Amino acid sequence: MNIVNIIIANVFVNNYVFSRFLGICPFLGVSNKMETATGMGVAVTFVTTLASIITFIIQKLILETAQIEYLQTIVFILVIASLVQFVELVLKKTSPSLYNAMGVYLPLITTNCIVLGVAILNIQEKYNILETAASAFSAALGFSLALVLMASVREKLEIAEIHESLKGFPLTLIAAGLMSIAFAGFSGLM
Amino acid sequence: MNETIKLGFILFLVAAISAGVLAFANEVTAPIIAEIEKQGSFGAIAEMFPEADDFQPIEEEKLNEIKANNNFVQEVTKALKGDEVIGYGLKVKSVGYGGDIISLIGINTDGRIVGFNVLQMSETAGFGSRIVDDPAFAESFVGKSATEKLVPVESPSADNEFLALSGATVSTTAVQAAVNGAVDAYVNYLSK
Amino acid sequence: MKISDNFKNGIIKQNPIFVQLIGMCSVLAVSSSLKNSVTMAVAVIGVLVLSNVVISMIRKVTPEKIRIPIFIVVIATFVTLVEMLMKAFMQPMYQALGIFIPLIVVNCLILARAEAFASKNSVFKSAIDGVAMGLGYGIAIVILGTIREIIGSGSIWGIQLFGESFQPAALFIAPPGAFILLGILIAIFRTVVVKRFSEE
Repeated sequence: MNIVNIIIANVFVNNYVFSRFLGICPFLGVSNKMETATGMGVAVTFVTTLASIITFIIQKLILETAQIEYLQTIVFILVIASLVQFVELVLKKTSPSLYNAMGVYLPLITTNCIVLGVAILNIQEKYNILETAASAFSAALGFSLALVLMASVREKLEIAEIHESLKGFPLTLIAAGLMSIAFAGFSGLM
Repeated sequence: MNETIKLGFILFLVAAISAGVLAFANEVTAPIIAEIEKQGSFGAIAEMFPEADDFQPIEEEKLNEIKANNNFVQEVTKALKGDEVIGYGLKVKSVGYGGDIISLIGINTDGRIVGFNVLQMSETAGFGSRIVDDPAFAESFVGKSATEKLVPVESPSADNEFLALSGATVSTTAVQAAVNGAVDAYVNYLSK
Repeated sequence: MKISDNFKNGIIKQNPIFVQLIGMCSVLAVSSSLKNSVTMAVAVIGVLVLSNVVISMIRKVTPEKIRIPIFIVVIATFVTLVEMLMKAFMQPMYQALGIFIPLIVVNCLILARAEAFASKNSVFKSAIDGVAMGLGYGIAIVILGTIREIIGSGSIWGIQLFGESFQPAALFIAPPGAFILLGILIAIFRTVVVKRFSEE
């Protein structure tokens, strides 16, 4: 039950982009085309889930055992950075087609705050490993949903006639605000 | 290969220096942080029982007994005046809209709620966050009976009613569950 | 480049928030009140200046290939230091900013300045660049925080401005208000401020 709650909360109610403000940079950067949005979504989902599981294990086995929890930030970000490099290498060697789809987004993921944010939040919420995996996966899913929704709006906005000053990011942010109001409607779900 | 080792060594060196700096900073700040956290939880209880002169956690056996039968209670602290127990501060946890809500409920030995205080929450600003931001919410608990279940209403007056926040149903319900958890612990374990 | 150019760049022409659109997560998230905004701005400026200085200091001995991991370690160290200090001396503020303190590590602004400026310039210049860029960030978050607090809670720095009868528009301290307001601010900034300065 708890896991279902976590998933609904992360995808809809507390969507990481619209209500927690994590992952805004890539959200604005790659949401202009449907194709890139989907690619980024898949890459982020994959890395976030993997990173959360690995950081969870490191937290429990190393940081808490050695009582060096204060090194959390530094260790987690290094783990995420090396993980991204590693995934990039493996994909390049094993699956060129997947690499072509995801590859270009991978370097951008290190500085996507969702990855680190979810990893830290999972520890703060004292989730177990199953809840951690569910929380990370659904957080990234919520991010991808936001990305894809936004991309579909922006593809239409491209051809709309709007004032010079609002073109591009300002209007994207306003559209994101309206979408965020819509997401607030999900609050009744829980 | 040689270069890889060299690069690895440099990176290790940088990481080691930074770990050293942080270990030192941790040495300095850790005791201060521990002190603040301790004060933080006692400070809130002290405000609810101004006449108390000492605060102590209740016996571990009793706490374990309560926790085994109650999903909300995390910690119980007794407020003492001299040797006499004048009330209890119950730290309770429930799940709100944005995650855990941890609050403190003070109940005196006459069976009255003397205070309600949210210690930690991440409810939506402007909606659920009013459990903290709206002082009327916390005040609506003060003086209410701690012997029966409380219910949220628009304009509380009766002994078992507290303020319902419109637009923040989830947060209100979460607080209601937590407060009733504390009431339950008081009625069944602490008042006896 | 003159020092005044550095500041003009950081605050106006290359303002990280209004023009470059980097490091936006924390700007949107913590600007629900002026006090939070100012604290966040100070924390970011501190980390940015210190990491710029250290990265510039070690730029000649930093191997090209592993520069990014080294930058990240340096930045993360300062972020953790800030986190510890805030926990010890500003506990309520630390609670209010929550996860966004450790997340300064992934604020693209800081890594971008390390890569684009500090790794190529002298210590003094890098420090100036850190202050200038940090101020650009700080000004943006403070403007947003001020407007959101006035409209959304009817107060400024926690002090109520209007009488009891004032009904604040809670939408503005809620997430949607942050997005919409920042969009409008960027539009205004682009048309009014940047244009005037580029015409000079």
